[in-house]
Amino acid sequence: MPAAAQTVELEIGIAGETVAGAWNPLRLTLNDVPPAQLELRFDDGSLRGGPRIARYHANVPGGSGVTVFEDDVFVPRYRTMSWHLANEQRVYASGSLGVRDADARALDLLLSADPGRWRGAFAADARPVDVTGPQLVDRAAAYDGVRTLAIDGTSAAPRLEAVAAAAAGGVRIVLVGTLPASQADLMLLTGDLAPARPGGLVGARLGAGTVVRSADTVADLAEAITASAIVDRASMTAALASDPLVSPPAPVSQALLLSLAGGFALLVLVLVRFAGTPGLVATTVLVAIVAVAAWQFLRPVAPVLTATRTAWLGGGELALKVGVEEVLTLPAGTVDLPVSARTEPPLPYLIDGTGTHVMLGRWSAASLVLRPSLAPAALRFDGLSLRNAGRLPLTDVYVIGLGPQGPLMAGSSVVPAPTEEGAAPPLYTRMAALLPEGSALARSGDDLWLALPNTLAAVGVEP
Amino acid sequence: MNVLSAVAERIGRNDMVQVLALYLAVLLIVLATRWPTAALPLNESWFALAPARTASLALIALGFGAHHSGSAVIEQRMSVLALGFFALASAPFDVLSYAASYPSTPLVWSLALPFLSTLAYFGVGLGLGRLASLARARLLLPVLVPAVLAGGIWFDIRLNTIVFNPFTAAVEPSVRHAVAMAVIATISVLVLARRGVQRERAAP
Repeated sequence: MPAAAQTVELEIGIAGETVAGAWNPLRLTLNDVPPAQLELRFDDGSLRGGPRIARYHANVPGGSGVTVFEDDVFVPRYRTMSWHLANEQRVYASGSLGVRDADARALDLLLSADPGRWRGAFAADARPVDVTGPQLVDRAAAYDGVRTLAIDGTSAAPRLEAVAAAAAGGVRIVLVGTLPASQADLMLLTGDLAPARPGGLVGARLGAGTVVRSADTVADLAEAITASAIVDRASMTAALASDPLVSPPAPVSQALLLSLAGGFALLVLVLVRFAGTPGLVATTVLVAIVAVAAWQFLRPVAPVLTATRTAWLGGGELALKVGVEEVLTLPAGTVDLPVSARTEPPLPYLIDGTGTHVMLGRWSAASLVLRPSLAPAALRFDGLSLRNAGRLPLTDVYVIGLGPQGPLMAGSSVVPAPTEEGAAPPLYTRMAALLPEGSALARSGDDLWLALPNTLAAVGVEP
Repeated sequence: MNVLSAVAERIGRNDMVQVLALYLAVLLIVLATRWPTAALPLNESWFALAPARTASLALIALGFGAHHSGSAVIEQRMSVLALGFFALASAPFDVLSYAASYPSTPLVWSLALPFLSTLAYFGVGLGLGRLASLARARLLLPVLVPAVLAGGIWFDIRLNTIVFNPFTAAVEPSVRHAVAMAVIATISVLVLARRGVQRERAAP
């Protein structure tokens, strides 16, 4: 039998549609290719500033037969993008894309046997993309560049986990019309909430997104899309990183250095000139004392300072974790962080199996926006009450429109009530501007918990 | 007289004390001079002090080596040990400014390099003095000493490398520089040791 040809197929983005400036799913399918390393290079530099290259490395476990490798990769707004799959023996495949392929518009996904029917429901500048059920992955980060997912039940059913991951990741899910029995489990995501008013929108929040139902017409779909507002994740990340998390240590004054060095030099000269052999020995001891004392008292606490601020945006039982890690390095060099992240503002960096590696100059800082992920929501609305479902106490509980509510112990609940409006912390004020009325905010150490209200009416989505 | 006393005696002589005073004064001036740098209020003192320290020591060692090329071997040995003391006595300057500036260059490199450079350039100075004597041009040593150092720097700049240049080697660790200095320093030590043995054998 003739040997099967070695094939390599790389797909970045959902249905091959890449969103620049967002995390995208990556799928590499190999056939009879031995273990190799995949490298992506995104150059988002400029003619004036020169190249600025973000790299992604992954060890792909190949072998005989078909191997599928999946991950999520941040695609910056690149000028050129190139990739290759190679090992020490040879290059198996390579390719490149130009600036015209770097489309930053969010995707509006259509899961339908007749997607053309629904295109009119989207705005003129939207980017509708036809997808099939298997193309929807169950990782929240993969939906970073997705705005809407409309499902009309006419095509093969998507996995419930994939739709839930999309919703929790911040996507607006619209279930159009009456779904067939094979897809009835999707209705579980909308909950059993009645519309806030007769004829209003039916749906529920899940994580950072929403799941709503719409009637089986283009106009109803368009209305559902317009009405079900979702939180702007990019603005939320920017608000998290808007104030510095790490403060550089105060630099040592030159006058202090000069005084110490001058005194030492004078002492050395006197000892050497007038004390002979004992002076030589005394100078040697003095050198050791001054060097050790200077090293102990003048150097900064640590060469690299880091601080993390994490926000958990929850709706229902799931929360989308959005984190910002700020790193300040005193000596120039590569800072290694065991997380998968992108830099803000854009800097040259490398992501591989061990984490993110950022090249920084001396005494410079960078913010790293962590790859979004999902977790159970600790702070959530349970009917009208606000519940701490986590294991740690939550402090500074604040409900937008009602005011501060006091601490919330682990496992306890409280029905938010209007209180005397106090000045909210600056971070709360920035976050509150992005959240709907009735949302709750709380702290647990350095973590910030945000709970979106259950009802869509509270966002002012009613027409 | 033991070695320590001999070194103390050598350092205590006027020529060494004056050069030591001048050397420490140069380091203080470098430390006091603040070059305008980036907008950030950083302490950049090490980046000026480390090259100045290493290069000054190299120049002093080169000069003393050339000057003592015709001297007794014991004088040469005591002189090189005294110059090693220069490197030791200036180490706190390095540590002070290193702690304040916190560069990415390893502190071990910054502390060890001056000792190696001193020994190597002293050996180069011995060779230079010998050549000058053979060419009956010892009068030109005050010119030849800085010229040799400048030649090494020119060589590195021309070839875009770090082999002989003590200025760049101080802030940028270089294997080539370390190897070159180690080889020259080893030859210098062997020459000093061998000449001592030859003198002892020649003695009745």
